[in-house]
Amino acid sequence: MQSLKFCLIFVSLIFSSVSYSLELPSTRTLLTVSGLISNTNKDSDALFDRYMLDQLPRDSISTHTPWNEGKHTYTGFKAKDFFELIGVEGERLSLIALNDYMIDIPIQDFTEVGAIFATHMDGVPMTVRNKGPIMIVYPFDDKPELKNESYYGKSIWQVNQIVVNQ
Amino acid sequence: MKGLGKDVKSMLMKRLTSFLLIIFACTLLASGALYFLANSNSTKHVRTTYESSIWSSLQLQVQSYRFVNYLKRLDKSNPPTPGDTLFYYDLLMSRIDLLKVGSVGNRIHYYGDGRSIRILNFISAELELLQPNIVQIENNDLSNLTRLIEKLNLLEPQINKFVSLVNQSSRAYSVEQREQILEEFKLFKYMMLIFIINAIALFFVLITNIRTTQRAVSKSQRAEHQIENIAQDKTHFLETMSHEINTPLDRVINMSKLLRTKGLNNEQCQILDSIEDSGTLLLNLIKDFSDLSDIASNNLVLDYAPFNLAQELEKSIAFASVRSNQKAVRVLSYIDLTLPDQAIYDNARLNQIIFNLIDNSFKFTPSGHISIVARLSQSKAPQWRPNLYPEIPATMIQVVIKDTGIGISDSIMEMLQTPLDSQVPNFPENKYCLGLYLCRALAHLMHGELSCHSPESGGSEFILELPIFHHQIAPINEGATVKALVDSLSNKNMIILEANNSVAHLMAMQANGLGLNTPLHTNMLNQIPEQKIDYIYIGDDSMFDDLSYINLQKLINTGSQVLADYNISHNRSKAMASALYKGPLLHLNMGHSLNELAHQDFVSSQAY
Repeated sequence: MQSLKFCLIFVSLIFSSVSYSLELPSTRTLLTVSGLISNTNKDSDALFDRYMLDQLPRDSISTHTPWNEGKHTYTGFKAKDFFELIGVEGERLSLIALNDYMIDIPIQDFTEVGAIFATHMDGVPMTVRNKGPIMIVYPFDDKPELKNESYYGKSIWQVNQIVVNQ
Repeated sequence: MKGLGKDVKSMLMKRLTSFLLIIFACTLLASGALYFLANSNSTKHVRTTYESSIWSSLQLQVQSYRFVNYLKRLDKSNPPTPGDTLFYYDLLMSRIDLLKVGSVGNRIHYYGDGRSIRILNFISAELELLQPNIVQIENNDLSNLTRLIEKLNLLEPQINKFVSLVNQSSRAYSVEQREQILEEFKLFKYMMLIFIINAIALFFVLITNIRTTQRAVSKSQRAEHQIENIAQDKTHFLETMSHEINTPLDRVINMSKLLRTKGLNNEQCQILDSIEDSGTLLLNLIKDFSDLSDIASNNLVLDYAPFNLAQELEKSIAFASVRSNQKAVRVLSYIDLTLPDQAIYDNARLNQIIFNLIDNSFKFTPSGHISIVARLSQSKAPQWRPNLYPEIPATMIQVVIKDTGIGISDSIMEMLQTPLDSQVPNFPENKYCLGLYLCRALAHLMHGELSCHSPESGGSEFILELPIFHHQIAPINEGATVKALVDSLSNKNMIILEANNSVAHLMAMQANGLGLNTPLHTNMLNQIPEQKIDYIYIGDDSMFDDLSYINLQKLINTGSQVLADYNISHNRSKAMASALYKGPLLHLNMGHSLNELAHQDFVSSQAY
């Protein structure tokens, strides 16, 4: 009985260490995070592949957007857990898309307004042709006050880089 | 001329109303149109579509260059990283996908009369055909790389043409939409003009109305001021007149009283009576006018002080009933002896009301009787309190004055039922109603109410409801004098011999109020009650027969005391009476008479 207890503690310690350490991605890198972060896996960057992103706790929003017909369910990783994982030390994020389009979003948009990093639409992974790999989705249906050009502009897709700024 | 003025006014009013209606309709229409414009999101929509179309087409161009540049960098020494070629291809295809869907896709569909969508479809189809080559490169097979780059280079002019077409069409579309917006803006300007014109028109109407209202208000203020001045002048005039007339009139009355002592005959005495009556009436009239004027100008001040209510009421009734001696009218009163002992009220004003009401009854009652009943009322007392007694409890009393006279005329009834708001009485053609109006005004001033009606049985009935104030409910019979009186008469028996039923009933009330038992009240004494009879009151002996006298004598023999009204018709009755009662049959007075009757040896025909 005593040995079983020790085994359980050992296993839980291993799992906890896994969840808070960043290994290098084993497949193609989808997301590169740089800037003011404390947890990195390559030089001063944190690199993620789809597998790593899918392991993070999930969050989802069902909403209409101006770019897709009808209501869709967008699922992605929880911003709060993601920020804890990479050890965010700044207040603003510079999100850069595949076409090098860049926009600044305050971290509060994720922690307070309710925006998510969507990686799946209606359960299907978002490809580059379908605004993947990551799209920022705001809860437009739940909060009608977000339905304006300012938030539509921040709802950036094909995100592959994040720079954490002061 | 006046009629013509009215017509013009009516016409002007009609025109003003029509004008205001037109303004209202214009404003409503303009507001509706503005609301429609405000809700139209065409401006925003146009801008978004215009910008997005250009942005997406340029992105297509940029990504195609990036893709070609990436491919050009590949060779055997620089093999492709797995997934990169497909990634760049997907990125390029995603731009084509974005150009085909949503509002941008809809707009591009029509640009250049459909030429732009045809070019885009061509580009898309050509790029789809390149997919096997892309897979080949992904598999590290670069044999077709040069061919692929050539094909992409061949597509470049088409992409440039597409971008140029989208750019031109978007600008043309934008210009077209801008013109539409300018048209809407013009409409908006016209509407604003309508609003401004309406506002100016309303402003002038408002200014005119304010001026008219100001004139009316100042006119009304002047009129109010004038009325106040007139009321003040009237009060002052009446005060002066009252003061000036009082002295000579007093002298006239006093002189006539003095003259009465100079051995005049009956005819001369009657003339003097008339002079004194008229003089007193004149004095009272002047006083009434003065009081009415004070009430109208809010100058009448009430004097609230503690009084023994029952005794004061009795005195007041006695004073008002003096002339009952001269007329064939009997006055009876019943006062509830449980009325508060130390009541706070304006005694002088209550006396004035009671005097006026009884005086009025006398004037309209040639024969019969006048009854006055005073007791506690069940009515709710008002919230109002005299200034000196802000926290004192209040009770309502009721004084009912009923006579058997000719009743109240409809005009007086109407005058007494008219609301007192105006303070300017509309007196009917009747010289006696001034006093009644004053009574009502005084009752109102004391937060009471005076009402009147003519009962079916005839005559008139005035009901005065008045609040009085007292610290504790202390029945009057706890007062030393009255208590002694009630104690001495308590549980004694009295027979009332009276022909008139209502008078007999009231006398029984009086006797019961004094603690006496009244086993019998009848118009003739044809039987003797079994119990000992202490007192016999003969109010009316007109129906007496021999048996009545025999029984009366029997009762006298057993110790009964007889008190007879001074005006009874038979001398035989008078001869049997221990004492004769002269004047109004007032409640406490009757009690005192009976009490003294029991304690003194009366000689027949002694009168009270």
